[in-house]
Amino acid sequence: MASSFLKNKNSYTLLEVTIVLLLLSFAILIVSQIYLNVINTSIIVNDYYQSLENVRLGTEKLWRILKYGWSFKVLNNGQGLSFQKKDCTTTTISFDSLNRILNYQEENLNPESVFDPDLVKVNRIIFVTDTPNVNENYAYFQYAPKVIVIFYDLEIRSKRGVTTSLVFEQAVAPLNSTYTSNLCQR
Amino acid sequence: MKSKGASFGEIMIVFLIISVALIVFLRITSDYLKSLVFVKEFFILNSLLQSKYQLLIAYRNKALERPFGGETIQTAVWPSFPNNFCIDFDASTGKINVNSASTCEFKLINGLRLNYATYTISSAPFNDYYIFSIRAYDRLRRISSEIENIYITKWHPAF
Repeated sequence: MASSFLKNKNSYTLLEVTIVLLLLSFAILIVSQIYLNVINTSIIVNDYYQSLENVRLGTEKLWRILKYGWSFKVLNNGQGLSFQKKDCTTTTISFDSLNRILNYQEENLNPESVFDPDLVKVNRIIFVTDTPNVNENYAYFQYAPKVIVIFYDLEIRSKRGVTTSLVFEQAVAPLNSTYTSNLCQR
Repeated sequence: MKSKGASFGEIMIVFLIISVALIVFLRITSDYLKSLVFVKEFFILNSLLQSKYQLLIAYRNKALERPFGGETIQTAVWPSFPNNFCIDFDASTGKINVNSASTCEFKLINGLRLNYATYTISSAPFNDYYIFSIRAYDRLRRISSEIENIYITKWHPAF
């Protein structure tokens, strides 16, 4: 049998085998590259979802706190907001342009970032409130802001260094803006 | 003598398999990216819808800002048009503006306009309240988002 195997004249030459192996390697390389790109894309997309979720959590937190807040004051030409929380704690939200983060700070406590600094960078933030229609300030509802509008220009990031911008606006109509007196100033 | 070369049919089958594999891979990648774009756009549209919803509440509450001497329960000054209108916040004046229009552009407070997205507010007036529906539409991606049946009373008591 061995002798008949060696005598087989129909075998492939070394060149043919090399060409086949080369073509096969190219095919495997291309397919694996495409597969890796799909995996990379899915990782990037998952990272973006995580970043978007972080933005949603941060903005919802701000929305909830501002909804029950008192005595709102816009700081630094719209780059920050000072107010009193539901429990009358003086609180500040401010933009740190150097580190591109949005800080949330309660009285006597250390500042904490609203968004995860590894996932979300803040390019620009603007806080504005409406102006009252009258000059009288006997009652809180006459001078309390009826709406706070926040403009966000964010950069959401993936762990692989790919970034995309996210520009949107958020408005909050505080519940306490219709009260006769400011409960935090009693 | 039997030919060693591949037949035309065999080559076509190989090309077909490679093409299908490529299409499947590219489709998966494209779907991933599309889903990301859609999620981002929905996030923006929903934030803007929520913002309009809050502006409607704020606009109603503005009716309380009147000089003393009047009633404590005030009727909100809603526009006389019954159906569609736009509501925007003008950051330079600090006023909430309401204008009659059937389709509205999103104007952000820094002057940016989202030209690819529009919104409509439809209202149904009743004696004591309005029912609003806000619908945002993204013309580029052909997606829309809506908040329906927002009941807002025409007045607000001062607590």
